[in-house]
Amino acid sequence: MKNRTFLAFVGPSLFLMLLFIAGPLLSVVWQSVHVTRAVYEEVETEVCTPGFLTQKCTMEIRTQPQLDENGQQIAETIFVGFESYKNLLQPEIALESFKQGSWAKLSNIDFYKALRFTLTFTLITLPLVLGMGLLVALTVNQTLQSLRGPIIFISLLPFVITPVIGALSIRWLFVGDGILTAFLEWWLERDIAMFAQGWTIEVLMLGYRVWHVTPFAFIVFYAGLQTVSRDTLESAIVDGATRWQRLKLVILPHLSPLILFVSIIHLMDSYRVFEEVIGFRSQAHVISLQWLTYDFLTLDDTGNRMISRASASSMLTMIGIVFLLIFPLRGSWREHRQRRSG
Amino acid sequence: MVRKNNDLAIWLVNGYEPGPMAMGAAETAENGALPYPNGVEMGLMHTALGNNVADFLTGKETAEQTLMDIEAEYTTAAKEKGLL
Repeated sequence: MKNRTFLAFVGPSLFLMLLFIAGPLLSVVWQSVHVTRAVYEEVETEVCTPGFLTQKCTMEIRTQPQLDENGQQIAETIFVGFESYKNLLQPEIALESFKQGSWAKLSNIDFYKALRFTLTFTLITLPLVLGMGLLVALTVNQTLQSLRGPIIFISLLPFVITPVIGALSIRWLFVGDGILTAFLEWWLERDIAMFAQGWTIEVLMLGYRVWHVTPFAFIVFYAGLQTVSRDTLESAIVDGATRWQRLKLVILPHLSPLILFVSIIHLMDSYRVFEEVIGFRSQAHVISLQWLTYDFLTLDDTGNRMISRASASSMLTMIGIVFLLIFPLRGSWREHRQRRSG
Repeated sequence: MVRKNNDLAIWLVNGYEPGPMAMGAAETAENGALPYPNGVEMGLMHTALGNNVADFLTGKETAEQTLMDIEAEYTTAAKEKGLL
């Protein structure tokens, strides 16, 4: 293709990527090293009791924002460097608790608490989603041709449900005396409170996410299974390969690019775990990195928000995703080069 | 109107005489009750309290530890907002 035609094809999407990805990213980087805040001054003012019946007034020094001539608050934007990152990571306390080997102290800092959950959530759901997706795909591939349509439709349903709604419905099944908690209590003959401690909520979150994303893995793997070479499979059967050997030596190598694809998408998605925290209302026990960003961005009672720390937190989330993606991508890159040279 | 319904409510109108039920509120106000200090500081304080008090209520932390966490979080936020 000529360079010009190539540019004409790629240009629009490049422009949109610059506008909607690179632009916001740069702005987040900029905001994470700057702080915008009101300028405060100490003023001696008269403080009065509520003016009903009689009023008492006293003079007092208070801190109040400076106003310009239009009565608007004067705001200043200052460069703070990595101050917001430092506030988020608390390196001194982290280092100290690391030396003492005290997890309780480290997890007292919101960032590490969130990082711990986000990482375990991502790394535990990944193999489960891959395994379940493959299992469902293989099962559907074995069923009668006439039944496949409806089965595929039904197994895709969890993926269609809006995440927050899905998480809420699981919560309602288990919260308080929800149907399933009541059933478990009757079955195990003991009191169960699923939302009173962190680990039960985490188990529910993991289960929910696997249930929600498995259809995606399934449909990708199912499409891949349709292209497995029948000749190879048949010759494997002639050679006396067992079902397990066929799966391990023929089907899985054939699906490996798709497994990589699903892994990468899932790593990116689940590192941004957020809906579960909101849906299960787990903030008191379990928080995620994305929720931390959201919390900084939420207005408090008097209209403050921590934009700088929120930007720092989302930058760190992005760095985390890039770091996680290095491992699968490096493996596939090495394989790619070997295939090229060999 | 105020005179007719003097004891039914606490009025913020001239000519109101606090009755026996309203004496408490009236005396508190007269003796210098302060309005709720709903400034930027209070918002930051609410956030710090809200984010940390759960650990104490669920029994994960002692009261002292919780208070220290709240202080640390408030200090960080107030410095960022330029108050301290």
